[in-house]
Amino acid sequence: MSETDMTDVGVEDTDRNSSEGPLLQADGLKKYFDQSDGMLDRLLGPASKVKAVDGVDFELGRQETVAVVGESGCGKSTLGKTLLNLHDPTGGEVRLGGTEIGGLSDKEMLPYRKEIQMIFQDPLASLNPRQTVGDIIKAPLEVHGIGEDDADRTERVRSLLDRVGLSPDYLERYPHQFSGGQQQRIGIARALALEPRVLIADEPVSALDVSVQAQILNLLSTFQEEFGLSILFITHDLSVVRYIADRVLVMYLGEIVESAPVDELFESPQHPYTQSLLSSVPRIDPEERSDRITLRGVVPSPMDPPSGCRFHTRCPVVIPPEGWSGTKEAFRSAFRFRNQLLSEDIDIENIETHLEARSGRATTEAVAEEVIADTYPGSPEDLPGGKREAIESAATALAKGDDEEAASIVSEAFPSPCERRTPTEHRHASDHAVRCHRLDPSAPGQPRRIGADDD
Amino acid sequence: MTMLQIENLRTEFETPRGTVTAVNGVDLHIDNGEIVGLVGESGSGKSVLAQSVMRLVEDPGEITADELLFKGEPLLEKSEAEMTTIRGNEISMVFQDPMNSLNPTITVGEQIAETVRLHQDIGESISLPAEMKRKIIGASKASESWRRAIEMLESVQIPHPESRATDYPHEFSGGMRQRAMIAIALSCEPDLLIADEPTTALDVTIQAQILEELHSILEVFDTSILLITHDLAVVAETCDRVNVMYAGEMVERATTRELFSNPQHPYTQALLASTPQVETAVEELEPIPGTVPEPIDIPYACHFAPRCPEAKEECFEVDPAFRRVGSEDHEAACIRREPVDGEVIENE
Repeated sequence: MSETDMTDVGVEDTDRNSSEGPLLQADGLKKYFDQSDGMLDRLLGPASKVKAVDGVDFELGRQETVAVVGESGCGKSTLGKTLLNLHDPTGGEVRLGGTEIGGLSDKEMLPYRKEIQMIFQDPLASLNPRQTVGDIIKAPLEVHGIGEDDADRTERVRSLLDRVGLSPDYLERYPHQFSGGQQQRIGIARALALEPRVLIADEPVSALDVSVQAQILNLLSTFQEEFGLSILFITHDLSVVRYIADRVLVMYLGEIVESAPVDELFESPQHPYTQSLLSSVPRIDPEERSDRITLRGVVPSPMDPPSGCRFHTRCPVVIPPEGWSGTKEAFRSAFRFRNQLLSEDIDIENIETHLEARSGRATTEAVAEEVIADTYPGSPEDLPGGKREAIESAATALAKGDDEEAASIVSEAFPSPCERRTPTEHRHASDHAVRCHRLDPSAPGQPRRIGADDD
Repeated sequence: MTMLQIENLRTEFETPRGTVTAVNGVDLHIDNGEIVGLVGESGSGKSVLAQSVMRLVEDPGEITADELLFKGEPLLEKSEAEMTTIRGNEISMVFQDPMNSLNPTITVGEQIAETVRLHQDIGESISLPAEMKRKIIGASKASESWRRAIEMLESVQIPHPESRATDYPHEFSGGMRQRAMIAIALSCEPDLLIADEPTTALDVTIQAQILEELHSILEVFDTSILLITHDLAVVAETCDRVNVMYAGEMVERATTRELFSNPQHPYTQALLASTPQVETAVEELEPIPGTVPEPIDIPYACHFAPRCPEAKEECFEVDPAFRRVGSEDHEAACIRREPVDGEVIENE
């Protein structure tokens, strides 16, 4: 299909041929979901909000594939939908070819929909089971008034089917008559019917077998070259990312913590979260297995994300405060204890029941001792003088039921720049950005390069 | 000792469109204290094979085998009552989606405690009124079964097991649910654990933890494991030996190290070539052309021949027998491979 085809419904503001600047761009993009259920909730205090996407900047260049990776719940799918304006952004801007499209109404958005299309993880769920494949692929052509008449549109559909590797004779079949891989091809044909410039692909191969997955990935690459398509590829599968992406964004709790060209990110990850994600991927070749960095704790709730660096509650390499006289390991153990205490993860009642069952009675001292024995990683003996006592008095306060006192003791004794200050973006290389205090020379504490030190 | 010995197992379903042979003459054995992998894509018959071992194949499924021995006992000759005892007590299963296998209306602790009461003789009443009372009012925290439930949660690394035991499944994260499922499966101290895609729905970080868990199960509970998955890397990291299945047949088997360093069957090779890997930037993946054959329409001779890059006329005519293709027990069912000892193994 030719260049004239593409511009027959022209969108004046977005000049297809302009090659300056990124094609799709987000600036401080935010999407919060309101969790309050009704009027009563709203009247009673501040609304709780899930901060699914919280200040994301990114650029998608022409004919570039950018992958967004992260664990489930990190906000990567919400990011995709917000870029497409399927969710109204709470804040920030989305620009397509320089034109602001964030928050446009459905009607205003219509001309731009042609430019950004999406494919989904579950192809069958995204195809109308009561429409034939021909009607499904033809629908976007009709909505956007492409093609001279119905016969012309049918011809276009036939040629699209052929291009995604399906027989044009399948026109009259229904989605359930196809295998998963074929259904995804239909989804791709529909998305590409309008010859969009941007394709947002949300886990498009996660439900497919590897042999079929490879077919779909190669198909996407082919289209990218032919149409000059830009792809935002959302996935949790890092092996797929390595294969398909040019650049990678790593998301954690609604924020991008690291972004770099694909080889750079895989060979020299800088953020501790990226490092642990990569180390968790199983490898076929035993030679390539490295020591696994196991993350402790669970992903915190996006309703109330941790202060400072959001990763600090799980980070294996948090920075001790200035003037810390003990070892880093000792600080990190104390910091973990602190976080468990602050997240109300220590169950005093249980410890009491336990002790009573074992020895008949649970004195405050015994409970405090048990709290430390049960929760403290390693031994508080490794801590420098003064700090040991802080652990003990926090445990005693906890045993007495004074949670607030306990929380303030540990917060004061074991502060870290990681929980006090929000990390700013640090350029590790010109196109490699990391948000981690350890890489920021201007950050307080003891910033050092990761990988080269004692961790 | 051999934990599980399967020879020439067939599972067939009579359908209006004809007979579907989901498992077509498969051999598999698992030794004591081994983790054995069963790899295949969807439609390969790997889950039906597992269900056949448990004799849980749904009507109209028919299982036949030359041998289906569990600890030397023929499973196909057991009565349904005997099988019920074996399931859970001696063979347990863990599935891909823990949310579908847990009861959403009963606390996690009570679900484990119930399994303990049903499968271990600990002298607690399992009469209907007693069970109903536990479900409605809640189980006694002082009972032996509850105590064991907490022990089990602790052994699968659930933090604060005492308070977590009173949670309902929806209050658990995905990884914790899968741990709870493993706890239920292990609460009867089975000799064999069949794990069917146990980590497929989980994030890599959680997957890594669950796979480690499987290893410690082996050590702590002395349980043999059959790990069924489509993920080659998961098998490579976890299993002692690997069996590769395609369209109802076993096509290759070897020790894990041997299989991945020296894959011989064209299907195994093609599968590896189509798998993206995290450590190496490949220019192009090689997909396997075509699709898995319809179960109703399986090719006559070699099932992989229509998609095989090396297929010759003979491949469509002769049923491929297993032959030794590498060190030790490395065998592949492909007539295009010269047997290293000149012998072709019968009984396929």
